[in-house]
Amino acid sequence: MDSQEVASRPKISLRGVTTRFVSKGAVVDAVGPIDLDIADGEFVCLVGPSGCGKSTVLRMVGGLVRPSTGEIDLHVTDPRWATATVFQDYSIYPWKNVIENVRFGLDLAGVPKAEGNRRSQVYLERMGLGDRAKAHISELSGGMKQRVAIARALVVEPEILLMDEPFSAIDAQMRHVLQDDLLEMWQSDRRTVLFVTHSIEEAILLADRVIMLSVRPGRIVADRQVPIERPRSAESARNSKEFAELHDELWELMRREVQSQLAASRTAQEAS
Amino acid sequence: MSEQATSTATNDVVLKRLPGPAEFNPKSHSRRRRTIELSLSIGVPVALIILWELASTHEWINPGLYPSPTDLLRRTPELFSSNAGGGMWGDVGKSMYRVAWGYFWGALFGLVLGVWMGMSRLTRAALEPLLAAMYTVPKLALIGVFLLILGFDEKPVIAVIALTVFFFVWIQTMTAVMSVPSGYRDAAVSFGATKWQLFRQVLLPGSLPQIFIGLRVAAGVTVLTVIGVEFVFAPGNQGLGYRINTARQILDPGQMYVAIVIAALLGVLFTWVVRRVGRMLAPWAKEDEG
Ligand SMILES: Nc1ncnc2c1ncn2[C@@H]1O[C@H](COP(=O)(O)OP(=O)(O)O)[C@@H](O)[C@H]1O
Ligand SMILES: [Mg+2]
Repeated sequence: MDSQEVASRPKISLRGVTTRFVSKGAVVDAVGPIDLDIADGEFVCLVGPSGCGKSTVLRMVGGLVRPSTGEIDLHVTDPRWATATVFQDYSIYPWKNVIENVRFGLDLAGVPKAEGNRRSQVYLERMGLGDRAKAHISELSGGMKQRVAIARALVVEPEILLMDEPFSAIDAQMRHVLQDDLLEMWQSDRRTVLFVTHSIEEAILLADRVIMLSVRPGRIVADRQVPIERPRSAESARNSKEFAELHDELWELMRREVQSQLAASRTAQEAS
Repeated sequence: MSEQATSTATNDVVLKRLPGPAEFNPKSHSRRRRTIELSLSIGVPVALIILWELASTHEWINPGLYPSPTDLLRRTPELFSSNAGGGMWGDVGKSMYRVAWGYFWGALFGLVLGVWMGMSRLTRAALEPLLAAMYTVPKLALIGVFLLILGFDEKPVIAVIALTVFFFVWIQTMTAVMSVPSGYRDAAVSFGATKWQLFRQVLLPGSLPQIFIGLRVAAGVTVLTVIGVEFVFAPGNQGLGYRINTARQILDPGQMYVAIVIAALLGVLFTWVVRRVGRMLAPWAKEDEG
């Protein structure tokens, strides 16, 4: 394979992916079919109505759920740290202190403790938690916990960073701060990011490209480049004309999706 | 009063929320509350004992059936020093021996099987219905069977105790491992944890506080069971349960009470030790959990 081909090859590609959950006899078609290519270094936000399968797509890319049909290809150099995930509820461990939590992925991979501590400390500093390395998790606020979770994902330097509504459980002010931090960090190392959010605003602020899913089973109903230049800050992006236009367009789409679902469930109710 | 309703001329009612004593002086207030709680937890039992003492010495109740606490205290050294049947020391020692070994084997098997079944659906499918059916069998009723199988020595006694402990520890451990939040597992799996790493780094610490609740309950139950078994069968005619039972037969309530109190203290002490160990191994557990 020549280098030209490698360069144009997508980092993540989904081909005819569907997901069907069967639990206790009930069948839920959660996703698809979806075809999607994400380029190396691209920041992609996945939005859509709640329950449409956003998390499921992310979990499939992260290897926590298998697709029912189709295929997902990740083109990576080191499969060990292909992906790292930041979850909505932090999922950091109360029996470990801050730096032990950040070091977790390195510990699992057998990186020596001293080296792990050194590397973790770097990311704690970047997240503004440099002086809290030995703190207990119970002493941290929600925003700090999520910083720990982000540091834990970044310290393994994953080729693909997966984030599932990482800021939705955090108050508005702290959310803005973390969004800016994330933007700044991404602009300095340009990792491939797949970021799930239910907030259209957040998606446009952060992403190169916003993908909207339909109601369940989630299919792609819109795929838009964000026409706001980088480097950007949340503040400047929010006030731009491009932001307002894209925001309105996506809102209208989302509204139609949700209404069509409501109408469908009403007719279903009347039929039964 | 921190809440007052004031009726004004227009018949509007003003509901006031005001700071109370706890807010005005939080430090001394909480100190006072602690003092009250502590004096109650000591005072109530002491008061009851004093009441018992008075009732017995004034013969409001029959002192032959209810000897006074001071009488019991006076008799205690004699019970311990007399060498009839090994004395009380022998009984305490034998009972503690049975508590220790029964608890050890029961907790060991309960922990191993509980963790294994908590982690593996297949093992659960294979063993859970069987164990759940056996869970409610009164283990004391099996003493006869064990006597026939294992012979007339310590083994059947230890077996009954271990079996009782096993079920408490097994079910609590299995539930604890299964109820570790799925977010904790996902995070580990997404970082590529092996099965062993998942267990060692996540499932074990994540379930330890709950596991220790099971171990603590089982500690109390162990003492109860030992006493019960010794009523029925006490190898070498020794053990607190045996002592209580014979004291009843020879109509010596004094001896009976002393043995009962010692058994109770044994249970309290054992439970306390298990709680301390739990606090040490799982210091992140909330107060009410560990
Ligand atoms: N493990 C599972 N078992 C059964 N159903 C599931 C499972 N995970 C998700 N679902 C269902 O799939 C649908 C999509 O879920 P999810 O991907 O979490 O949606 P979103 O993240 O967009 O809110 C929902 O209806 C959800 O109930
Ligand atoms: Mg979700």
